[in-house]
Amino acid sequence: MRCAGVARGRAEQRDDDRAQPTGFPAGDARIDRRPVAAGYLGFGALANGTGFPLWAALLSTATIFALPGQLAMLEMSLAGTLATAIVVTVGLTAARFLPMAVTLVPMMRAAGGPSTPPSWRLYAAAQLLAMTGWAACMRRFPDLAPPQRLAWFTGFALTNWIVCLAATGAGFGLANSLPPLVRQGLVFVGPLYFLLILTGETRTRQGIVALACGAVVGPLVHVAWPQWSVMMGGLIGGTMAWLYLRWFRGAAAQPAKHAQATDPQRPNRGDRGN
Amino acid sequence: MADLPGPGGLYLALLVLACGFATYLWRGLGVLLSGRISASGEFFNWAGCVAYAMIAGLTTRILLMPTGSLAETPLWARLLGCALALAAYFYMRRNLLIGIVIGFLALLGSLVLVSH
Repeated sequence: MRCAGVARGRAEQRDDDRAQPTGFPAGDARIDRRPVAAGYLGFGALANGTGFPLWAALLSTATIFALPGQLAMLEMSLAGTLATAIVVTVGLTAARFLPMAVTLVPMMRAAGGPSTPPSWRLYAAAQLLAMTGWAACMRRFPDLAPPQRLAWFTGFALTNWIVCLAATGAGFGLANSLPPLVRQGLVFVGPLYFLLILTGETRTRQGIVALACGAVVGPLVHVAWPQWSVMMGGLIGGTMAWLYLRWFRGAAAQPAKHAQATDPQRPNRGDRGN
Repeated sequence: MADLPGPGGLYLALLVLACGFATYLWRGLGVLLSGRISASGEFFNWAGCVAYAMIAGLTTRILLMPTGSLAETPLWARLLGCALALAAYFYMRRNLLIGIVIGFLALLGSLVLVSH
C-alpha cells in the first residue's frame, strides 16, 4: 500500500472520470490530477526572479507547504509589507486546512483500541496536509482498513512534499540558466496554475461567488493600498461574498440543496450525523 | 532585482518560519478539534469565502499588475496566455498540465514576436 502511495503521484494525472466509491462527486477526484509540482516550479522561478534566496524558498516550501500562502508571502515581502501583516495574511490563506484536517483525522483515528495511532503521529502528519493529499485520501480511505490509513496518507503526502521541494529547487535553478524570455514564461506558470484551478475546479456556489468578489476587489484594493491588498482584498471580497450568500440563503431557504453541496475545501459533514 | 527589505537573512528566516507556524496552526487545530466540531458552521463559511477571495484577488493581481520579471512582459501577452491556457484546459477536459503548457508557450511566443 505504501508503494502504491508513492506511485500514485503520476498515476493520478491519468485518472480520468472514474467511478466514485466514496460518494463524492466526480469533480472532487479531479483535484488529484493537479500537477502541483508545476506550481512549485513556477514558485521557484518567481523566487529567483524577484531576488528571494533559494534557501528561503526551500524553507517556505518545507514549512508552509501551501502555494497560495507562499506566493502571498513572496509578493508581500517584496512590497515591503510589515512582517506581522505578512504572517497574518499567510495564516488567513491557510484557513482551509482546518476543515480539511477536521474531516480527515477522524478517519485515521477510526481504528479504536490498540491500533489507534498516537496523537503525536497525527500532529506530525498534519504538517504534510495539503489539498492534493486530502482529496486523494478522501477517495481512498473507505477502501482501506483504518489502521492502514495513516501510513497511506504519510506515504502519499511525504512523496508529494519531497516532489514539491525538488520542484522549488529546480524552478529556482532553471531560472538562472534559461534565457530571460523562458524565465518570464516560467514565472507565469505559478499564477496561471491558480487561474486554471480556481476557474476549473470550483464547483460550489460559495466558491464561485467568493472567487468573483475576490478577483474584482483584490486588484482594486491593490491600486489604492498595495501593501495590504492580499489581506484586505480577501477580507473585503470574502466578507462581501459571505454576506451575499447569507442574504440569498435567507431569502430562499433550501436546506436540502445545501446538504448536497460538497466543496473540496469545506466538505459537508451532514452525512456524519452531527 | 530589488533586494528584500529588513536586515537580511535572519529577518527572512524568522519571517518564513513564522508563516510556516501560522499555517501549521490551522492544520494542528484541525487535528485537535477533529470529531468535536462540525465543519459546516457559519464561521467556516466566512473563512472559506475569505480564503477563496484572497487567492482569487492575489491571482488576478499578479496577472494584471505583476512585480518582478513578469512586470517586463506586456499586459496583452499575459492576457493572451491566460485566454489560450483556459481554452486549452477546458477543451482538453480540464487537463491542467496541457493548459499550463499552452499558456506558457503562448506567453513565450508573444514575447519572441515582440522582441523581433
